[in-house]
Amino acid sequence: MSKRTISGKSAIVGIGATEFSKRSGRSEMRLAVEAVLAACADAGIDPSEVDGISTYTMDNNPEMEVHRLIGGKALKMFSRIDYGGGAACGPLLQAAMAVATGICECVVVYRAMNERSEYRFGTGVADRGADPTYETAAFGWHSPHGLITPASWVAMSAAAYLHKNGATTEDLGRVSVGGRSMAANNPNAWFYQQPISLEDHQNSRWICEPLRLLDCCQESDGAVACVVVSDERAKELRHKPAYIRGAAQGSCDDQQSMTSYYRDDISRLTECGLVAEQLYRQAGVGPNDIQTAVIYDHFTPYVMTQLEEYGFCQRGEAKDFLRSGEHLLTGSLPINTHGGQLGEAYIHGMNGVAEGVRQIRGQSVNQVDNVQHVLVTAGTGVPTSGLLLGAEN
Amino acid sequence: MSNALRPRIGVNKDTQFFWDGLKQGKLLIQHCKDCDQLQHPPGPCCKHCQSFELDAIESTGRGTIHSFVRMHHPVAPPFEAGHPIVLVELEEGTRLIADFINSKPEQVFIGAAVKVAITDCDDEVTLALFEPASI
Ligand SMILES: [Zn+2]
Repeated sequence: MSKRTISGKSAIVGIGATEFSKRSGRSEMRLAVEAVLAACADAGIDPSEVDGISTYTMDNNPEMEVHRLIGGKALKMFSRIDYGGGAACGPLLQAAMAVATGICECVVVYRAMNERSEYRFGTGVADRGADPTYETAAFGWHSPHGLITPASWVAMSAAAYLHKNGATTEDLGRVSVGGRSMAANNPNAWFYQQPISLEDHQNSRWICEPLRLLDCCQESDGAVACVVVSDERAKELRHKPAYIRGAAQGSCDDQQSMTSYYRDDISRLTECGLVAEQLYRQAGVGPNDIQTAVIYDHFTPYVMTQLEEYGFCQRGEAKDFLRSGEHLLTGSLPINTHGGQLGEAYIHGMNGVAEGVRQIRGQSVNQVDNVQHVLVTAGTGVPTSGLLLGAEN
Repeated sequence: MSNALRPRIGVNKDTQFFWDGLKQGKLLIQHCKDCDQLQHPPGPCCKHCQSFELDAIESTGRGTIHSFVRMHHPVAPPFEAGHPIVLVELEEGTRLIADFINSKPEQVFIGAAVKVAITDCDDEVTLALFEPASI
């Protein structure tokens, strides 16, 4: 292994969140500050010590303002990672690099949004104005044809995946049923005590065939934040550290944002494979060393693809993995033990990072036994990211 | 068809030729004069060899359905609930997204033969819609 590595040099030592709702009744900035202060309190670190901040490009709360409001003194690194939920683990990579290289002592990452009450992503991009930017020109290849929503962009790849691999929409339903079974035990989940059956899934209305309503995650208001410090400092703090054993981003193979329809095999998420290879190399572990995973679940089909790209099953065999229940609490790899974004809340993946930390600490409502390593993935269909947390460094 | 307008198109200096071609009834594919490869969506240079020497060829407009969806929600005019949208693989090898018109449900499947139907949707927007190869 290269001597130049971030693996094990930093740890997540604090997590904080607001409640998850459909209408927070507060500004997004307030949600961000509440979550960051809660994460610092959880870590036992004075917020004035925060000297690095990273978030996502779609977050509306500037790092500068969050830092000012929490009583920050000197902000030495600030960054925001692009591509929506695909960023989810990217800020942790920024934090790990900043701490490992001595740029920062204490980095906060956050995602805060009134996505449900103020600007629903699910309504699509139909009324974007025409301008000559790259992004608008790119939308022009599909939005005038009516392919205007995240669900529709995923559905196009999903149809090819199901066709190629002999999987069915019931397999998609198994992802949804699994997530909701986990959320049913989680008092912080929007769908607490509301499990669903495969029949419920099959009876839910079409959104964009082959996707039904229950293949699409919910839309939420809320915020989640994490605090990252060095491995040395982590040992002195109150919680068992969740060491960052790997953190990586990936974009490859004729990448587009949500519409990688021009690559050789559109049923794959090769960018996830790129992230997986980096994480496993950094951490010196493989998929068999992982006891539980948070697999980004904005839409069910890409959970299947990710199970394959991250090496938990062979390509095309996610359907068999799901049919034998390996993703459930009783299976070989319980996934999304907080309920995922299908069940807990859609906080653009940052709530999944927090669940990864709880599994390392032994604090999940659906705790898995003897957790040594947890994989956390990020939004798919876009340039993506991933995180490999360890109980040891 | 409804009078409601489709989403507007953002056009820039790399993509202008494609939309101009449709106005002239041609489905164009960007072509590299150096390595002779095609690419879609178009860009300022060839993704294969990074040449800036680009022109375009006219597609036959024939291809097959590589994948498809049926859009149900949200759907606003001029679209109808459940309308199929296809990812076409052209004979020339490149792909593009298209609203699929004039089709019966049994004509929408992966592998189905399709052909282009260049359509003036309104005063501004001309699109390469597709339809079954034999209607
Ligand atoms: Zn070339």
